Amino acid sequence: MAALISYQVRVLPFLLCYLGPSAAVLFSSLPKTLIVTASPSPGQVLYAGVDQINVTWAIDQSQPGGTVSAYKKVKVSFCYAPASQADRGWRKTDDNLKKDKTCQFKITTQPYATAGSVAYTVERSIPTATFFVRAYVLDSEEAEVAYGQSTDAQKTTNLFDVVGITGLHASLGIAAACFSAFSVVALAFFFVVEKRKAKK
Amino acid sequence: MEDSGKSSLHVESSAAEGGHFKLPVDSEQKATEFWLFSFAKPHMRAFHLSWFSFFCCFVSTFAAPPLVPLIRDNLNLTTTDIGNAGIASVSGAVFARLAMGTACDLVGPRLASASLTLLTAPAVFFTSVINSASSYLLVRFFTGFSIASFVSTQFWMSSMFSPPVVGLANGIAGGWGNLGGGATQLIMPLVYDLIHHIGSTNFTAWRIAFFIPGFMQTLSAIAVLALGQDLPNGNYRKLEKVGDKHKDSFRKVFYHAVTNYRGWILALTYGYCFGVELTIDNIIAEYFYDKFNVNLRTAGIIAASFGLANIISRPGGGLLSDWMSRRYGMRGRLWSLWVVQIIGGVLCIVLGRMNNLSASIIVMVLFSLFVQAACGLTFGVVPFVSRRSLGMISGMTGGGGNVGAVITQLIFFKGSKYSKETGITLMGVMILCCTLPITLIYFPQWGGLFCGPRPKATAEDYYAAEWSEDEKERGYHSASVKFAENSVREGGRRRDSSPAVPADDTPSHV
Repeated sequence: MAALISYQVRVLPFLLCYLGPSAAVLFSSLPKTLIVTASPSPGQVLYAGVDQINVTWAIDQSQPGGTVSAYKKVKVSFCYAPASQADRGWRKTDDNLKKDKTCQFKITTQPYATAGSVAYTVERSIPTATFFVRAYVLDSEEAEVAYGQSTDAQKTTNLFDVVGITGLHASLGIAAACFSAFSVVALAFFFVVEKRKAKK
Repeated sequence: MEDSGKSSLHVESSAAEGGHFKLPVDSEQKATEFWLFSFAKPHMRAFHLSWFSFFCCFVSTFAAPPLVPLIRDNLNLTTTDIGNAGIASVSGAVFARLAMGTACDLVGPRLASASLTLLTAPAVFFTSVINSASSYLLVRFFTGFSIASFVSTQFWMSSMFSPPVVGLANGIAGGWGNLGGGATQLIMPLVYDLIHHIGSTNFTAWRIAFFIPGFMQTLSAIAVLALGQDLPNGNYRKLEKVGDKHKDSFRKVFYHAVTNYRGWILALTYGYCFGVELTIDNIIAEYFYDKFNVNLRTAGIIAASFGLANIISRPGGGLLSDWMSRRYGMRGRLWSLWVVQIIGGVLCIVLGRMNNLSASIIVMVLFSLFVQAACGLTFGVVPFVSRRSLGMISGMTGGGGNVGAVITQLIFFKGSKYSKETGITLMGVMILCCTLPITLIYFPQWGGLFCGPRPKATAEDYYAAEWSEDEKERGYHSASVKFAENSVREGGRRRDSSPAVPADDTPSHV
């Protein structure tokens, strides 16, 4: 059985090369051949635009992985944890990777090596949510052929929080207040003028 | 204004009555023709001021949906939060539209609409500083009040334009205003892109973008105040001072509005053409995005095209209403309303069953044409339901539209009970059911869908019945009498082709 599975896993990248990128890649078919570790401790809070994380990945020697010759690039992303996906259809996990919306923020894309790492400052466009880190291995057609992630299969361990920027500035509040006041005062002005005209 | 407005001339004629108006007018000084590209005082100017300020209110009310992908991440919103805010955005206007109706009857459409628009502008400006799901809901709720200016638009057009063209004037003003709901799906992403490009981070850029609809709203309201006037002869306050216009009592206006069953029926049926339009404005982008996997920009363009159809569809409805009236009178107006709205309901059912993207878009566009034309056709009938309580009836009907939107979203589009496509199909079934009551509308002087007019009934009796003997003695009902004379054509084409028919003659039907 294991031999059959590993055979399929070895053949799959080949098939994908033949079928081209239009074939749907299913996440459940990908072998987990990378070990990914992210520096935040579980439950740590990172501030967008300020804090930095380190992500390292390495080939898992114990896994009967796919054809390593197909591995061309490694793409590392922030992915939403289930708590941040609840009641939010735009972050839904779908087995078909073309429709999958779990991992929306790319950290880096690097050429494949048996091990790699990246130091990443959390960008200001990352929203407030709970995340884990996942790395996909891509073949020459940019299709996913293997993966690894910093959490377990149920996505419950090693999660960390990001607190996004608010986007607020004091000037926004002041401008809003000024224009609102202007609107109300303009109305009052016209009311007074109306009353005066009617009196004449 | 020098003219007292009490003209002894009865009928519509193509020569300019009252001398100083560019457009030809009737005995109430209302324009009998509609010149789209003119800004002539006061009729066409009122038209342009009212449709544009209403347009700005629609842009503001639906400014959030196209930016929701950003707002939902910035504020950590859930689907429930977004749905609730969508319902809130259309529920505020339910009561606001009723209040607007009363305000128009009492202080005039110019002050009523400008007050509403200027007082809701702060909600738009403060959208830029919200930071939670509840503040998002609140700003959408208060901003949504502004689309009650629909009522002042229709009231103003009904005050400025004579029965032969009132359907068209109401239809274009309403349609081009509703256009804002479509235009905003294109405007807001564009403004956001510009600001983002200049250098702001995405979570700041969307906030700055909200100042644009805010400005537009404030400036359009100031224009209405500075350049507009309530009636062809002047503003309410001035006319009341001079004694040309009687200042009516709220209680009487209210009584005559709520006791007129036709107002209630039209409120229900409007809930299932306009209410459906509002619901679609809130859900259609997401529907196409999820069902057909188009990207967000494409979904936005498809969503925009639904609202943009308003350029021609609603005016088309008004035009059809006026055209049918020329041949068949009020019965023609009612028949065309019923048929068009039924077809809209059928297309809605079909839309929910489409599984192919291009077929779906085609059906959606057809659906938008019919459902929006039905809105225009509704307001071809509304000006005739009551003369004394015109504002309140317009308010009830308009409010009914929003109630329809709230109920429909609550039943079919909240949570996961129905898939969106099932919801759309069921909404279509509900349209069909709620359109049936139109068969019950009956005007004694003009008839209804299935019955002809009563032999001795006149328009004058119908409108004068809203005033007590005492009030009639004091001449308060003079505007209603003039209106009755000018509505004589609602009886349809007569055997004798004389244009001047005395008010107490009964019209015979083709």
